Amino acid sequence: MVTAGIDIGHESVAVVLLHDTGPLGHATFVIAGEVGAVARCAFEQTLDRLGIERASIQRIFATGIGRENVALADGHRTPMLSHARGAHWWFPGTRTVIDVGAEGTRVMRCDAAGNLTDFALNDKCAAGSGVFLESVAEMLDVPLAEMGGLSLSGSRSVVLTSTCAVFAESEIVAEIHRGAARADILWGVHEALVAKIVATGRRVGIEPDLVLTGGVARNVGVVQALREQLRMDVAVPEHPEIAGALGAALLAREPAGAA
Amino acid sequence: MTPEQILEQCRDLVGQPLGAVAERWKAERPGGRVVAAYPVWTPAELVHAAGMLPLSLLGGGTSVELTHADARFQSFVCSIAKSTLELGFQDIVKGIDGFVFSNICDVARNLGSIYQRNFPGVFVEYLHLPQNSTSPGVTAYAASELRRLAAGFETAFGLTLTEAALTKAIEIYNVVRARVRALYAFRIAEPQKLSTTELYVALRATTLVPPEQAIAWLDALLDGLPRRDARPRDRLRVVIEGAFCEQPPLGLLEVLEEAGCYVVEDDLLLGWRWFTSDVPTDGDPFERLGAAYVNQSVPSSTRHEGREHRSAGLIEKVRRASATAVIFMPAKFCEPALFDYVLMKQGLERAGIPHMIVEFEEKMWTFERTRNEIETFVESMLFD
Repeated sequence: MVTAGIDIGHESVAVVLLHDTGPLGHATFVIAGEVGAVARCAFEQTLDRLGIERASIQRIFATGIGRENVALADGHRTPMLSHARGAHWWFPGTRTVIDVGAEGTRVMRCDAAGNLTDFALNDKCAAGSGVFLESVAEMLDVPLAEMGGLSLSGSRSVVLTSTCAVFAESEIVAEIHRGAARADILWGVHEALVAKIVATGRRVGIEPDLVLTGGVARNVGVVQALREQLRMDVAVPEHPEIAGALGAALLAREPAGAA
Repeated sequence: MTPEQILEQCRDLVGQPLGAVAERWKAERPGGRVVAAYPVWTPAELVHAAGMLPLSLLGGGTSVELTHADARFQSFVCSIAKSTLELGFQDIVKGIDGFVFSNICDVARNLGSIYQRNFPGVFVEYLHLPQNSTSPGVTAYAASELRRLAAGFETAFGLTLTEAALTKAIEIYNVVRARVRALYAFRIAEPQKLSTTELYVALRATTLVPPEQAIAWLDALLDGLPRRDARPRDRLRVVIEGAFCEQPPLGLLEVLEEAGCYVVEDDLLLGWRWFTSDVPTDGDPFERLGAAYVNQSVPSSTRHEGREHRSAGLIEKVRRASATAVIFMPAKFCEPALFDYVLMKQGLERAGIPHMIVEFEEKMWTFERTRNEIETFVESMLFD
């Protein structure tokens, strides 16, 4: 059986095609336009790239924001359930999944079978999400992809006390004026972001094995700060940004997966 | 009338300013008085027995901008207290002659005094309901408080409230409550035929009309709803707990069902269906009503019970409604609901009943985050 999962994020859409033996392939696209059209376009381009016929896909599930608007999907599931399933497929010992996307942080607890047992979302606040990092990258004129690595060389002398993204930006400006090194500021930013994530996670408890998913998982500074604050190993999948789409594809092949 | 026509009427009434509802009733009854009752329980029987119209006073909902109340309350005070005060400043309750508050929480205790100070032209009474259900003198005390309230009405409005009239009022409100209980039982049996929004709107409308009108609507609903054509769906049966004072926006109730739940029990408008069975009508009606408050009240976070664990009533409600889970829905900053949440959560966990919490404010207008949380909660149980 071949299934597909489509994950509509705030800034990108991910598509995973899944065979019984594992993923056949995946792709991610930057979002531009109406959700249904974007999903269709991303799905068709993924099929083209992988050379797979539409007719061979037996079931498509959508997840993420606007999942109900993906007309080509046979059903949809919430991002929390999808990320838990995806992370558990990669790491079967997973008990906690932290997904940090562009505009939100989600913490999921799951059991040995990958069933979701509890979850928490960040409050209406940008301080624990990817857009915060994007705005900092812009402020410091550092490419987003290089933020993590650069922060690891920081001296850890900058501490951001604010839990609000807007106020944190003010603190960053003050640090720039003070002459703090970019690497030091970046480490402070990652520490502050992770503190927010950890606070969300402690509402449901964070137990090993812990898996970090979502685009922010590619930031090695965030991963390191998380390891240090939790004193726990953090597993990161090779393609953390497709965890939701993979989970949706997995859910699409489950017997109880009615639309 | 069909259920749809009644529900349309109810929806229209619920959307009207409270003062306009009062003025319209008074226009047909020259010299008539209207008394508004702040949650949770106020003895509407006393108001009715005095020939007045009791109305529920439930804050400003989504329709009132706070331009005065924020200057008089701290930022950590619940929305219903602020918007109820705002109703007074904006003349939205103009036409209402009296207001009754009670000791449900510290905020409500002070709201009564703040009303008195800011609006000296209206009658404001504060009811000290008993908080010790096990004291030997509790029933007599409750009755004496009811007598004091009745005397306040008599003095303020120059009317007479007789025991015979109170007995009749208890009888008619017994009928209203029995009909409401029947409607709730119907929803437990066939939730697909009566949405929570519909039940809520109908129930709220009955708190804005005389009991005779309420009975007519409820009878027609009980007659017509079973004939609705609706197939049961694969949804999670849930109990809502915590929204007994500040009322959630209708959009939030709709989201609950859209996200895959059948709400089969709730504590919305709890004070208007306060007694678990009919209040006896023999003997002294003040004594009977006071005794009913002590011994026949539904479990509530605003009434200290002391005779059973706080979670017992909730667990019983879950089982009686054949529910699978509980959604705690406290208003932001609602101390009674949030204090009890811990006790009830622990009780549910001991009983193996899944639960989640969704805080709300009456002016909440975006529900996507809540929808996501509830859908995930539903999925985590349906697709394990």
